Amino acid sequence: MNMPRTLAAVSLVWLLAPGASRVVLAQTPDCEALSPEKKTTAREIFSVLHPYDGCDQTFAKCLAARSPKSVVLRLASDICRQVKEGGDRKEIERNLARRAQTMLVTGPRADIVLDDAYRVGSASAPVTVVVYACARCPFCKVMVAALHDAVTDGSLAGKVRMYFRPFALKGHPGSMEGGLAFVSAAKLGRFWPYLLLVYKNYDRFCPKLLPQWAEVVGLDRMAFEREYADPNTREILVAAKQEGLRNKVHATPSIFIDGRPYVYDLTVDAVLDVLQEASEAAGR
Amino acid sequence: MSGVAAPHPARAVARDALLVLLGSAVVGSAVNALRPSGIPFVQKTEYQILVPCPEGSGEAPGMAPNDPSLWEPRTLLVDARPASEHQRWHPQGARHLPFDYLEPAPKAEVERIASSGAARVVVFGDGGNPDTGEQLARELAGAGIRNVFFVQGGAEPLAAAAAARGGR
Repeated sequence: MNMPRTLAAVSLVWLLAPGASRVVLAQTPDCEALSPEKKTTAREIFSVLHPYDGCDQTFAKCLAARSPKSVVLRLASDICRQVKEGGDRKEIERNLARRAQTMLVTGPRADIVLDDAYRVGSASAPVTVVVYACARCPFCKVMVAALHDAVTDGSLAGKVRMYFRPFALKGHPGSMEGGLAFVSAAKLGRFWPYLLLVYKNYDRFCPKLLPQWAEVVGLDRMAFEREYADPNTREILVAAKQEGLRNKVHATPSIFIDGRPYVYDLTVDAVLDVLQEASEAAGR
Repeated sequence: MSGVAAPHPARAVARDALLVLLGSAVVGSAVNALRPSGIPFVQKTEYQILVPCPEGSGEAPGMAPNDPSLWEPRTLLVDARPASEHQRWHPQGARHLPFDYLEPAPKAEVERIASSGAARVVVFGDGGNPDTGEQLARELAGAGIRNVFFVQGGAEPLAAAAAARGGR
């Protein structure tokens, strides 16, 4: 037996075996940043789960392709993020199914009024995201502001347009007043600056301050107060809530992407990632 | 030979504790600085520990307008429609509690229903989509009232069912 040749062969096998999986993981920075133990978990998951788009094989095989599809890399990164956070295979599989449910067209689209007074982002953007939100929901102020930044001059600029739909929650004191103020500002053409100011001053919120804040964003106080007291403003707010209930909105924020309900993880990062995926899918 | 006086035991312990504390802080900060995802000394963005805010409504099953239990003595019927429609027609003994999409039902009214002694509470509304009867039933269930139902289809089929029974 040729000893040096055997050693060379063993060395080659030793180098290639983990090397192949290193290549797979190196393509996704989130995966490469995992600890060795977590990398093993990620590899195990990649060897059994399939991406719902971009490739018909397992993640492992799809990632080993010469140039993996962007959606495959995105989903792989997402899996590695979940592995890092301690997610197990079953949980990650369930999450992948929820993400697929969010992305893939199934059933009729939600019927939503898209009023340009509540829009932000390019009117010609290929993806439409709608957020039902309450003026007094702490999560809404974070989510809506983050999405606003992303679609105006962030990573989703030109790719996604966002519409806000007021959904006043009865359980939140001041929600109705905040909702009426939002509609009033929209009727006067300063919806987004007003909404951002109200959310920015979330901890100082008081219905008495609403007309004052209208002045801060350049609205005429009298006109604002007139709109606020107008029964039509209340009707618009009620109509938006009825629309939300028809679309099975029971909590805020509730998100719809191109008419499909968003049922994946409700974190800013996850929503932005899914919207990137939607914009890439729209561009294909 | 006269040596240096030993520090007071309590002071020595305090000094050693301080040294351990400082040493730990330095080591901890160094490790944190070397970690790729170290904890920032000053958190500049809000932590994402937020959860969606629910509407706060409970579960209320639907009931067919011709269900005989609607007319049992221990059933409390609640009319969720506006006053004008309530005045036009309502089953005998039905309590009026108009539903509002933006404001919660008055607490006193909810408490009155809760303490009515009814075996079941059946709400009927406009039968629209969404149905005010269903929405109010869910709100009452969310407020802790048990055995709350809503009439499927709202007041119109209920009136027809009542007429078929000879009125109530």
